This record gives sequence, structure tokens and C-alpha cells, in this order.
Amino acid sequence: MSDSSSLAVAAFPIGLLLGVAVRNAVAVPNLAGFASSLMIFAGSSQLAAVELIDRGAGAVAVVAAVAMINARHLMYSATLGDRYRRAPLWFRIVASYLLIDQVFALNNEQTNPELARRPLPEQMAYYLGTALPLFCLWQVGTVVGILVGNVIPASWEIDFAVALMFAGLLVLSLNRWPAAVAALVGGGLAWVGRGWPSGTGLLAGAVAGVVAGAVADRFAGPDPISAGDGGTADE
Amino acid sequence: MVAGAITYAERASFMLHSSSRGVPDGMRRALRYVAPAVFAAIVVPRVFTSGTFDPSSPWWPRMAAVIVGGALMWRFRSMPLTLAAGMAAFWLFRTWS
Repeated sequence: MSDSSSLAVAAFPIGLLLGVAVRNAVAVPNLAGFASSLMIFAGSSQLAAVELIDRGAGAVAVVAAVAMINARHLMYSATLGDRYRRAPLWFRIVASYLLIDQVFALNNEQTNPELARRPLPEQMAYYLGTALPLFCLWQVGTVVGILVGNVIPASWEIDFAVALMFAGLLVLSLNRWPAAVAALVGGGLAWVGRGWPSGTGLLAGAVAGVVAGAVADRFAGPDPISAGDGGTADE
Repeated sequence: MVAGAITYAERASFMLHSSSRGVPDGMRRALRYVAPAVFAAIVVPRVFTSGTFDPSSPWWPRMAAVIVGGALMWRFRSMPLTLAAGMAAFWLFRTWS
């Protein structure tokens, strides 16, 4: 569980960053900015939305940008939805709301293969146990950022902790060579598309990486990991 | 509010929909690569483009710190260690840049 607590700590700077952005954006009322943390609860898309609104973008453009940036959650949902398809409806409703990058990272089979072998109630408890602290610190960070401003000196560049966190999660997910192919293609295309509008570079990289990984997987032979997930066997 | 609803719909899409059939085997294989593909796509631009707090900082201390953090994660599988040592390495490298 130490992993989830350190990830929760890393959620604070994300919330703080958002709060500061809301505070500095003239066109975004503070309450609306905080409400976006509750309703959208997805860091990069909220930052983009605040920036777009502040620059006077229309509602349609803002909504389209948020939908685009958060489209990777479709893939998270598909990945975890298969595992939790026998979980009760209330859990799937709540879990969907809490499904952010970090929660996906802690609960998917690639980064956390032990979890997939445990009984379903334990998996559900772990899911909520990892997601709720993240959610709370995120909201606290947003409120502090809006009310107090930047409490951590900007020169510390504390937002780099977010990049480190995802780098660590990336390492955990590299369990066989096709995963490295997926990472190289995904990271490479996201770099090429870093200037593309509305996070389409990230989305393109993510989709291309998954496809590349799946193609490489065909040459890699049977996967030792899938033995524990109770799903269909590999061919 | 609309943006929030769409985000929720994207997250809930398969969580709520997937029936007892589960997903096809080919798709299951592809979904294994969601984690490495997405995390790499998040990390790489963050390392090579300047930070949100300080747009003037160079990229190489971030690159070096990510390598340090990644190596520690590979060896010790510990997120607290990765974050602490990675940030320390980042600040150290930055003072030289």
C-alpha cells in the first residue's frame, strides 16, 4: 500500500497546479474552477479547459478539447471493465468516476499482476483504497491553489514529480518486450505530436503504441501473466 | 458540466457496458499495451518540453532524473524511493545546468 500513499502525495501538486491556474485565470470564477475538479477530475484536460476559457474559446471548443484529452480513459475503461465485469453495479458506477491515470496504473494487470490473482472483493477494496486518497488530496490541492496560490516555490518545479511518477509506472508496465515496443512508439509519436492541438498528440501516441504492442505481441508467443486473470487462455 | 459528463461517459463506457461475455481475446491482448503506451506518451513530452512552473529550465536534468528514477524503480519496485531520489537527482543536476 506504500505505493498508493506516495501516488496520493503526487496528486497534491496536480491539484495545486490546477488551483493556481484557476486563480490566475481572470475569466474563470474560482467556484467554477473548483467544480471542474469535482466534475471532470482529470488534470491535463482541466488545465487545458482553464487556459482555453481564459483565452476566450467557445464552449464547444472547450468541451471538444476535454473529450479528446480524456479519450485515453476509453482504453482504461475497456481494460479494467473486463476485470470488474462481475462486480456490483454501484462499484462500477463509483469506480468509473474515480478512474484516473494513477488509479488505472495501480489496478491494471501489467503494473500490478499480484492484484489480478486475488478475490474480487479484495480487488474492489484495493481499488477504492487507492482511488479515494488520490481523490481527496487532489481536491485539497485545488482548494489550496485557488485560495492561497502557489504554496510551493515555483523554482522547485514540483510538477516534475508527476513526470517521475509516470516514468516509474512506465517501468513497472514493461514486463515483456512488446510492452517496450508499445512504449517506444507511444512516447515517440507523443513527442512528434507535442504541439498538436487539444492533446491529440498524446491520444495518437497512446493509440499507435497499443496497436504496435499488439502487433509485436503476435510474434512474442504466449504470455505468462495472463494465467492468473481467469480469462480466456492464450492461443 | 457537459465536459464532466463526457469524461464520465468515457470512463464508464466499458466499465458499465461489458456484459458477462467479456472482451474478445484479440482485444484483450491489445489492451495489455494500454499501460506502457499511455504512460510513455505522458512522460516523453513532459521530459523534453519545459515544466509548467518554470518555462526556462533545460531538458537534460529532467532526462537524467527520469533515468535515475526509472532505474531505481526497476531495481527496487518502490514508488516512494523513485519519487524521492528522482526529485533529489533532478535538483542536483539542475544546479549544474
